[in-house]
Amino acid sequence: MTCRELVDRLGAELEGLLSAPEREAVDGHLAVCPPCRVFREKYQATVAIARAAGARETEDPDAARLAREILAARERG
Amino acid sequence: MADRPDRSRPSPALPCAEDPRFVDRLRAGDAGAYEAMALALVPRMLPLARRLLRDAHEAEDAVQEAFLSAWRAVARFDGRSAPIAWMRPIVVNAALARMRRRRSRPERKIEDLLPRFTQDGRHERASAAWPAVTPRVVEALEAKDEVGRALAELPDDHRAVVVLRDLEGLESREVASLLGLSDDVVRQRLHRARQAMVRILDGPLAGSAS
Repeated sequence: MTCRELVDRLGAELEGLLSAPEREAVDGHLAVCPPCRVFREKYQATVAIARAAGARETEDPDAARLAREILAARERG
Repeated sequence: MADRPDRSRPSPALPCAEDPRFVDRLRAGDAGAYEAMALALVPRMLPLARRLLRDAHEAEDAVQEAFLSAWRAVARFDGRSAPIAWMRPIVVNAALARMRRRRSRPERKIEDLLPRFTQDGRHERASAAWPAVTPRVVEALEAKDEVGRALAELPDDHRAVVVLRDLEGLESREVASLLGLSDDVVRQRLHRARQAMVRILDGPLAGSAS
């Protein structure tokens, strides 16, 4: 397996979609390829960061104002 | 911007969970039920529209248009799904329609943001590791809007997929249905968008590993 082939499988790995032979090939490559280990960690970290950012709810005065504007526009018809 | 509170605070809870008649009231055109829905869901939908459109004014217009069109079609809300599941596609479609209208905006090619490999398939260059993704690291990134900046660098069609799948947490098939794409195309765009984000987030994160 090449680095390119390993990177191509990172999405499927995260979804738990690797077959047993693919899993074995991925693990075998990672065992001998530090750059791929680093890239895989970053790929997984990126997904974790995106999920955390999406789950974070912050008070937003613009949203409250917009909600009021929407309600006023609805009343005006 | 500077005086915006940075503490996390959940949006007002939807009253429907405690009020089984909420859906009936909403469908009957009850203004109070609609107001409760708008107050609870606009704070959830505005960040989604902003991330899709990368433009604060367009995002507000898309959310307003979506909520007003939902009000006009409120009798068709069947109540089998939560109001947020009903509103989300309406907001996404309003945002996508705006995205399509502005197609001429210049954007980076996703290929330019992907990792590079040598002819024999090895990494062209090894990159530095990142620190562990702790809540503190995520908070620091969010404080500087690094995730927003990274998303903004993606082409529209790839950003839409990663926003809906990774930030909104929708299943791949829901993303495919919302965007009118096949599952395979969603998976391919998601994978490319994530690789591009790795490269973009290298800026703030690589070299800060301890």
